[in-house]
Amino acid sequence: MFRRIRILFVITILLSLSSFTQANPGGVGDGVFDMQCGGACHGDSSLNQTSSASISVQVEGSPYLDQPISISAVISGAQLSYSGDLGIFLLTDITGHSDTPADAQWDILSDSNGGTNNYVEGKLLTGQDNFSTSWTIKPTTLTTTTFYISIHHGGDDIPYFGISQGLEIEVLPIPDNLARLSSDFTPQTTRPLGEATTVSIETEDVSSVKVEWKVEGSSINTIIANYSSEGVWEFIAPASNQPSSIQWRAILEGEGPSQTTPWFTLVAQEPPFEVDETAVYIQSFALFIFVLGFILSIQLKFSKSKTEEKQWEQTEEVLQDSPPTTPPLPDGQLPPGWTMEQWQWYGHEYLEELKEGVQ
Amino acid sequence: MISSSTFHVISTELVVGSFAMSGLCFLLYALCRYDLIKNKNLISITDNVAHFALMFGIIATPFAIFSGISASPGSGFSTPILVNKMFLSMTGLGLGLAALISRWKMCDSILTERKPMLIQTFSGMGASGLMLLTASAGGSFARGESLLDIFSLPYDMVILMPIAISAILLMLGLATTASALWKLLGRSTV
Repeated sequence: MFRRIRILFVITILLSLSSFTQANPGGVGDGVFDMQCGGACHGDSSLNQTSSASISVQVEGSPYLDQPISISAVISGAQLSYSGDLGIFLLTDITGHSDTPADAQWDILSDSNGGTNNYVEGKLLTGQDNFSTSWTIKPTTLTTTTFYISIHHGGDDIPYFGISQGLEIEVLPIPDNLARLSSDFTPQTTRPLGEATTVSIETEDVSSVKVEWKVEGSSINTIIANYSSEGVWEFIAPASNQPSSIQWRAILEGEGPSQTTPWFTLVAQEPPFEVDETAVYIQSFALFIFVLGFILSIQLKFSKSKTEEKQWEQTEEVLQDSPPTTPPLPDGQLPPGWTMEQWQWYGHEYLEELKEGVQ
Repeated sequence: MISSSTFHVISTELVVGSFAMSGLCFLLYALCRYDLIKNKNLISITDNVAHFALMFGIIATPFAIFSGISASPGSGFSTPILVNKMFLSMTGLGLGLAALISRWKMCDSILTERKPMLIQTFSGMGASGLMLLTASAGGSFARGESLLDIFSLPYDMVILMPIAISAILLMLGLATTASALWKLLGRSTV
């Protein structure tokens, strides 16, 4: 019994090790991570090999203080098609720690997946040879920062890692009367399916706003934003009946120099499914153990009558433990060389041989 | 080394194959016992095959569950289907393990009496049914379609109990299982 428990214990330990120490080829989900994902993306960063994928980085917009700019990246290479899954980081350092944009005093206003993360995951579809992504960020202090794009992907049973050349951006003070977005403007990044969306733009020193929007792969549409209240302008993004994203940018005009904002991404998606994982695990084990206990109990109950009858049946044990009947001694004494114990167990064989010999 | 998703495919193939074989044998066994199939040899054969296939399926099930969680994108439960898969497979595992322990510790007695025999075949076939349902949910998740789609099963609906209720059920289950195992392991089988 204890041997079986030990085997079960070893199997359980092996199972746990197999699931907790490997890489995550399915990804870890978008998030704010440092360069090595805190060790979460690829289980052991020392196992990473250098990716042969090429990474091109581009900045759009003027890097004024508190004004958004866009950083876009295009990743391409044959190695990506092994698994198709790709994790992409926007980093401000390559030391492996304190390297997120927030560490360098930059806020992420949106990423291409509709979140505000520096790490996003994507999938290279069949037939595609490159993958594009972008972030809209804004500086909160006058500083000079070098940005890097880093990638994680799998292939050929090996985790791969790559990093782009640095791209230095110097933040400039805002010129007088610059038509600009409000410093506390945060673009809407997601919206529900099937509903037209009113998007608000908060501005300063702006007298008119023109909005350009596009769906990936189609032409640019232009509309005039409506004045809503002091410094706030609005436009309506058309409804989307299936998960998709549109990109939009505003052309701001006022008394000072006019400005074009970077492209912002607005993702239409189903509300994400969220569940308390602890509750799921507890309920799963509860179902397992309850069903097990219930079936065993009713089996015991219904097979009880028969087993109780058998419980006191010890005939076999009694037969095993009883000494055999002692055969009668020939001429009232033991044959020469025999002990009483030997006679008790083998005496009947001696008598049978004696009887056969006489016949 | 192979990836979690490949390992998941391998282990689920083993689980589904074993449980399907086991379920079929439990069904044939029940039909033989009720004389719907008149073949005495089949009773012994289906009994053995059903329980050995069940044992093999049960050994492979934890590998399938853990590799499935590891291979799923993002967190383990990013869609309701994955939550339902977990519930179905764990319930099936409980039923299967109960059938196996009963057969092991109670020997032939559960197959000679009518009620225990019915419970045994119900447990075995129930475990197989739940595992096949889990596989069907996996097909719906990975490919968007499954053979059981004709029944319009509500995979998108999750019945999640509050943690307190689950904890009570867990405690109750642990107590019942411990009590049953104590009786089973401690009693005479003479």
